[in-house]
Amino acid sequence: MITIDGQEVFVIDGHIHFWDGSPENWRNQWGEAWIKCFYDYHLALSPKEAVWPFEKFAKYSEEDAIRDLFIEGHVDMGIFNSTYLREFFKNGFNTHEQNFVLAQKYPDRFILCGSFDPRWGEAGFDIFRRMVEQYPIRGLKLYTAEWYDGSRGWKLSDPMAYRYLELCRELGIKNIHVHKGPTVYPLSKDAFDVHDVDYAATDFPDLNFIVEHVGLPRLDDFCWIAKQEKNVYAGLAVASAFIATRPRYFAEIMANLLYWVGEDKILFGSDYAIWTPKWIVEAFARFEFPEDIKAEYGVDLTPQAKRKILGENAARLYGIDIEAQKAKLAKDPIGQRLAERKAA
Amino acid sequence: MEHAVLWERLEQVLDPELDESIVRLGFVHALERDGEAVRVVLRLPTYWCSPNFAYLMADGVRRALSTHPGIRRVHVEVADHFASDVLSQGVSAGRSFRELFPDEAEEDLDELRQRFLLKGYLSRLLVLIQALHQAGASDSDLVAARLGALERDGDTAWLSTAQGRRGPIRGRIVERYLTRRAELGLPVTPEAPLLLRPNGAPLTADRFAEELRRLRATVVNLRASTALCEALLASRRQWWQDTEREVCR
Repeated sequence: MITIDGQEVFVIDGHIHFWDGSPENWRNQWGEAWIKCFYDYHLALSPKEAVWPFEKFAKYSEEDAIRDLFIEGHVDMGIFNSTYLREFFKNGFNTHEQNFVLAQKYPDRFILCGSFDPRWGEAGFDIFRRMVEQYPIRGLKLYTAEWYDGSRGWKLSDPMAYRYLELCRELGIKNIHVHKGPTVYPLSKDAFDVHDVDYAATDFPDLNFIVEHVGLPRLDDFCWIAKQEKNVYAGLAVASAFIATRPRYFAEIMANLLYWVGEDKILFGSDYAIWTPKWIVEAFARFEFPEDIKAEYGVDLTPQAKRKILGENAARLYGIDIEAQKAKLAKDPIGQRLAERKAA
Repeated sequence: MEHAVLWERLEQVLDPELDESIVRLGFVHALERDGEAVRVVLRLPTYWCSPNFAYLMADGVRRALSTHPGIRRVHVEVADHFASDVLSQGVSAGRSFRELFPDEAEEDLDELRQRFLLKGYLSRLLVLIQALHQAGASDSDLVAARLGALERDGDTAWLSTAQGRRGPIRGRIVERYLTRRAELGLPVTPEAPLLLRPNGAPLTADRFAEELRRLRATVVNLRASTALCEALLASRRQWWQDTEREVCR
């Protein structure tokens, strides 16, 4: 929770990880390069006091995650955006199995996303079904730039991807988080816009597509699509981290999102542990648009908009009754720790 | 002196996505000349920079330098990149992108290059409009103006309108706009409208505000990406310093 305008606001961090990027888990040079690149993002936008040493960044503990998110980070619930990268990391980078270790201990705190890869083909349907049976999978995280068996990417509009989306319908999975951020592959121009989301969103109007990283560096393309498609949402991870060291860019990105996409379709995300939520949430709660941006776009980041973005929008997508959830969370081990802290 | 000329040529090579010079962005790590051979080392903001963009920049370097009198061989190295070897050897040998990545390049790079030339144009157009706005030109001045109304005077430029001269604005803004406009094949004759959409139609008064907002989104995207790339490049230097220290030891 964070206080905005004298009111307690429920925070759902829409984009978190619990990864193992340690050297022991590197399968090859790509694993090393991957975690080092993440660390560059961490250094590039974190305020100085929030910078971690590389060793900790590569592998942090369960206690680190609980403290950074819930005890100090103002987060009430987090959505695990599982990221597999099995070709880079021996045990995967941040699989739903790894994330489940935490989700199992604190079931009311986490929403667990699984995944599919259309390149598994029909043989993967059973794997997918088993995943949904065995784990409390409530959403999916799709990563179209994943390397697999010689291929270096896929598109949401591929026919086999559609077969899996149909399976999602059947299994009752409604929320699809799609990584559309900085991309490596595929090499075609399609990697540089978000139009495959457009096709899928039109053809599956009953599913919600949360475009993580708001398509950056394709923010403009994303805005046109999200404006047209009722079921396309903006996931703020990466964009939100601009808030401390590049506040003007943050303001401009937010103004565009509010103008084109609207305050009901934006979801907060920190991308923990690339960045810790504490400083992002606190800065977001305080943030005010410069006057010229307000005037130019005719939008404002009001307390109501902040409330929606920080928690209400994600709660709606995942069917969470915030008041009921608050009561539950107050009683879980983390809720008790928070209460003790407050008392002390 | 010779060296400065080579740097000037490199300065003309742009990051296609950011629409900015690779020299200004700090991507050129080394430039060495040995007789008729030149060696250039590029270091990009991330190990994962898209190989198509990396190719466009590396090949841009080769083209920019190989046409320089007295240069016969250009060796371009893309350092610390997941496709370093393929890119460095391929580009230095003058091979096409399709030849280097036959399984992964679904279409030619020209389409991609065109797409970003266009985004760059939109950005340059907006910068021109904003500069003229700040210099006192109204929306109606701008939509009524023709290219011939731009007056260049050294490093500054002015726009003459029915109500008088508006300006000064920086000459570079005008130059960047006109250069890209010509590259896209849009008219640059004095009687052509000052503000053109990429499809050649003039910007009109009735939808001006809406058009500006669209341009703005493209520019915000481009600037945020540039800021991120610059910050990533700065972060990335730590690993190179480590390597360089190890090498020294």
